Amino acid sequence: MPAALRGDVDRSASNSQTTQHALGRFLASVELKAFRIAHAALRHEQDALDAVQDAMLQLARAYADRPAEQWKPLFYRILENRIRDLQRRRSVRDRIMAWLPFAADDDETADPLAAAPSPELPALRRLEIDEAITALERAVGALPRRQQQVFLLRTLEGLDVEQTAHAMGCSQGSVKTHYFRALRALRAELSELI
Amino acid sequence: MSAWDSSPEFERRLHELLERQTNAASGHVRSHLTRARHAALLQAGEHRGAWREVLAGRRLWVPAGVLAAVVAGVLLLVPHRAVRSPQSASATAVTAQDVRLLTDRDGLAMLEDGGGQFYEWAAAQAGGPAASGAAANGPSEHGG
Repeated sequence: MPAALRGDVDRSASNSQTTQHALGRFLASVELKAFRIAHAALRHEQDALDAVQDAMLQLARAYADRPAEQWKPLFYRILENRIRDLQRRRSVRDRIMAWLPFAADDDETADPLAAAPSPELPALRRLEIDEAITALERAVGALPRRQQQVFLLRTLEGLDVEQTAHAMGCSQGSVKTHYFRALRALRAELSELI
Repeated sequence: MSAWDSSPEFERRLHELLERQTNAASGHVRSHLTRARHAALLQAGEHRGAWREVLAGRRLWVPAGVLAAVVAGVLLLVPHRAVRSPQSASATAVTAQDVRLLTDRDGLAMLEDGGGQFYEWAAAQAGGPAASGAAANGPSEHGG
């Protein structure tokens, strides 16, 4: 093999390692938030984990070579599609299961670690926060799906309007409308709690 | 008027609560996500590694093998067709000869009589040296 080509290959290997490290850091930075977003939409822990895992695999397989600043909207676009697929599949499954007399619930078992209180907060304050989180979770869960996703992408993940529009596959105007409506609904639901 | 009525404060508070809720993910969830991340990185590494190996020539044997197979196939096919052409002509000639024999009155009579002797006689008529002995016997037996 010519030395020039070998040099190109070595440089490519070095770039590849750099990209892989960057991709690892990126995935580590979004995985929990992505899980929270998927869980809000799917309301099922295992389905949410599957959706995030699929999105990670697809991003790594198909888009790792893209510039790093494109990863976040791409990742959430993939996740959004995956969530929609799972919801469709679940809807079909539910319709089939409704016909079966022996259909069983697959309730998630509660994780004792997750339920354990965090030790650094006073009990009363912790209770208030837990109540607020529960109410927020319920209120976010009650939002229409597009509003819910726009709200979480913007508030939790910190995407701007343009990035959110790209991730959701809709216009920026639509993002602004969904976000405004989501905030209004949450304020109406949560203001009494505080 | 509570702080929640002010939109930026409301959003800040929501963000805070969501962050807290997200960071309270269970060990099971965290472990699953870590495994998923490693699997994704492994896959990305394999994908890129495969292309690097092709560039470096380590996997060039695969396309080279395919190319060699195609060339061998072409080489095998072309002479095969060239050799077959005369054979086809010869086969056509034999068929024409057979037609002549069949249209011959004596030949037809022998065909109607049946039996393999007709074919031996026909071969002798075609001038086959191996069948010269049969040529003497065939027609005489049929009395033709």
